Amino acid sequence: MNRSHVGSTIEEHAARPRHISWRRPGTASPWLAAPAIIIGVLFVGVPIVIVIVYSFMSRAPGGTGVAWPVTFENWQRLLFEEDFDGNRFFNPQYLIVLWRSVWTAALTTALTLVLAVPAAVWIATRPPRLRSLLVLAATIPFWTNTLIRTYAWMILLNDQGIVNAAIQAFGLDPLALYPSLFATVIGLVYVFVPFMLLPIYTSAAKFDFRLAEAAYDLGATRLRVVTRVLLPSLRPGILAGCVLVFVPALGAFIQPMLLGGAKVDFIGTIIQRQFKESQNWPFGAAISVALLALTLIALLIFAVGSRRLAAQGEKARLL
Amino acid sequence: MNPVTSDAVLSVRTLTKEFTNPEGTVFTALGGVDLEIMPGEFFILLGPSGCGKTTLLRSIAGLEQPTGGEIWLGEERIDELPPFKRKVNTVFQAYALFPHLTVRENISFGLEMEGKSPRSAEVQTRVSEMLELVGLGEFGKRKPHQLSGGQQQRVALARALAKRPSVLLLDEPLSALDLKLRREMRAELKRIQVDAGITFVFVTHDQEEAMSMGDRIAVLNKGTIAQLGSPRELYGSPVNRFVAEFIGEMNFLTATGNADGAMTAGGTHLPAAAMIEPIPEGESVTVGVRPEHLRAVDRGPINGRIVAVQFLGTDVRLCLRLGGDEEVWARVSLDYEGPTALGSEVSLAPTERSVRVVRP
Repeated sequence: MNRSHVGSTIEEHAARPRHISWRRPGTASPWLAAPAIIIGVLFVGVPIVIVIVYSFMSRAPGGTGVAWPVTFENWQRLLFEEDFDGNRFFNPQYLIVLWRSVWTAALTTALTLVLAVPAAVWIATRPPRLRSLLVLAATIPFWTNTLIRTYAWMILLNDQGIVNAAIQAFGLDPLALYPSLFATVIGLVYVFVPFMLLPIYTSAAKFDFRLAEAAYDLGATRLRVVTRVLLPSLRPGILAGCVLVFVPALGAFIQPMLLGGAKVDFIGTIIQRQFKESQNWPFGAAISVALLALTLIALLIFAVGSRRLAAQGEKARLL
Repeated sequence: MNPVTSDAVLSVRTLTKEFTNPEGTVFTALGGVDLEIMPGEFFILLGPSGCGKTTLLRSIAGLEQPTGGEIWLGEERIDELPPFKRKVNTVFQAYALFPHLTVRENISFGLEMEGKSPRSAEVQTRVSEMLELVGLGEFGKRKPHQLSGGQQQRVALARALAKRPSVLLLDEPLSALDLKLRREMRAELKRIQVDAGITFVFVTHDQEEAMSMGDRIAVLNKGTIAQLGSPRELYGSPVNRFVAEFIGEMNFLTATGNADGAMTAGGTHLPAAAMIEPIPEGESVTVGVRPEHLRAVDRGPINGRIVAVQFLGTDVRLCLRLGGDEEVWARVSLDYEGPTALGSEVSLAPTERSVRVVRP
C-alpha cells in the first residue's frame, strides 16, 4: 500500500461520513426513563403538593376533605393550644409524640444495626452457594404481609402467649409484654432487620479480607481489626441500611397501633387518627408535612455522611 | 526446647504444612523445611506456583498454622503466637492498603496498634522518615486509590517497615507491576533493604528477580528445598535438573560416556575437555550446557541447521537442530557474522568445562 492510496481513502471517508446505528454505552435515551418520571411526578410530586396545600386549609364540615378559608391554625395546633377564652398557651403534646417517634426510630435503627452487622459479615464469609441461599432466606419475611407478621407478635407476646407461658413454666410471674412500647420496638426491629441486613451484606461481600490479614500482621487485635478496618469498610452499607430503616420507622403506624395497643401515640398513629376517627384532614396534613420535613432533615444528615464518604474515595454515593 | 545456638535471625525447623481437601485427600504444601536466615540478609524463596513458598512465608507471618515443626525469631519461638504478637511484618502481593485511610494513616497504623498516639511527634517523625525512604515525601495526604501501582507498592513497603520488624516478609510484591517498573523496583528494594538494615525474606517465582536481588536463594519444589545457595552457586552448579531448568536456561541432552568424552543420542560428539566431570564409559546420563557456553566456530563438534533465530539486542540466540530430534540453543554475541537464515548450517563448540551431568 503506498502513500497516495492511504491519503485518498481518508479523503473519501471525510467526504461521506458513515452512518452507524449505534449508541455509545452510558448515553441511554431519556425517553426510556419517561414512564418512571411521569409516574413520579403524578403520584409522588402532585400528592405532596396537595398535602402541603391541605395543611393550610380548614376542616370540612362533614369531616371528609378540606374547606376554605386558608388558615395557619393547623400549624399553630402543633405547638399551641387555645382554651375556651381564646388564650393561647404552649402545648408540647405533639412535640413529645414527635420526639418519641424519633427516638423509637433511632432505637430501632440501632438494634437492627447491632443484629445485622455480625450476620451480614457471617453470610459474606460463607461459600458462594450457601451465601446466596442465606441472602434468599433473609428476604423470606417479605413474602408475608407485614400486618400478619405483626399479628403474630401479638399472639406471641400477650399475657397467655407462648413467651409468657414459657416464663410461667419456670415458675416466674408473667410479664406485661403486650401491649407496650417494648412490644412496639420488637415489632419494628423484626420488620426492619432485612432492610439493614441486605445493604450491609452488599458492603461486606465486597470487603477484601486480605485487609484484615494485613491489619493482624501490623499488630491489630481482633477487636481493632473490626473497629479500625472492617466497620469503616462497611460504612456505605451501614449508611444505606440506616436510611432504609430510620425513615420508614419514623412514620410507622402498624406496629405502634397493634403492639403498642394505641395507648402510646406516635406520629404515624396520630396522622392515621386525624384522617379517620377525628376526621380532621387539614391537621392530619400538617402533621404529615411536619413528618416529611423531619424525614428530609434525617436524609440530609445521612447525605452529609455519605458525602464525607465520597470525599474519602468511596465509589458509591448514597444520596 | 532451647533454640539451637546460631546467629540466625530467623530459623525454620522441619516445618510441615498439610491441607486436607474437602474430598479427604491430603496435600503436603511443606514437607519438612529447614532454613537459617542471617541478620541483614536479602533472602529469596524461589519456586514455581504451588511449590509452597507462599505457605512458608504465611506460616512465618502467622497467617497460616503449620502442621509440624518450629519457627524461631532470634531467641523466641513464634510458631504458636498469633500474627499480631510476631515481630515480623509482611508486604502483601496485592498491597492490602486500607482504602479508607490516607497514606500517612496507613503507615502509622502499625505504630498505633502498639499503643502509640498517631499524633505524637515520635509517630509523625517515623512516618515522615518512611515516606522519605520510599521516595513518596509529598504523597502523605493522598488516599491509596489516588496512587499508581508502583506508588501503592512503596506505601505497602513503608507501612510494613515503619514497625521496624526483625524480619520483613515480601510476598511477590513486584508481580503486579509492569516489567520496566519491576526492574526499577528491584534496585530500589535492594537500596531500601540496605538503608533500613532489615532482613528481607522475599518470595518470587521470577528467577531473574531472585538472581538480581538475593544474597541467598532457596529454590523450592513440591514443598521441599531443592537447593540453597548464592545466585552464583545456583547458576554455576545446580544440583538437579529442576534447579538447572528453573535458574537460567540450559540445554539438556541424553549422552553416553565413551573413551574421549560422550556421544549424544543423536550422534553428536561431546569432547572430554568440555566436561565438568567425566562420564564413565558406557553410562547413559543427562547432560546440560548453558546457551552462552556454546560458541559459533568454523568447525566444531556440534553441527546442525538453524530452526529459530531470536535477536535480543544484547546478543543473538540461535536454535539448532542436531542429529536425531535434538535441539540446542546457543547465545552468540552481536558481532556474530555467520549465517542466520533458517536452514543454514552452523557449527558450535562448547567452552571448556561447561557440560555437566544433571541429576534428575
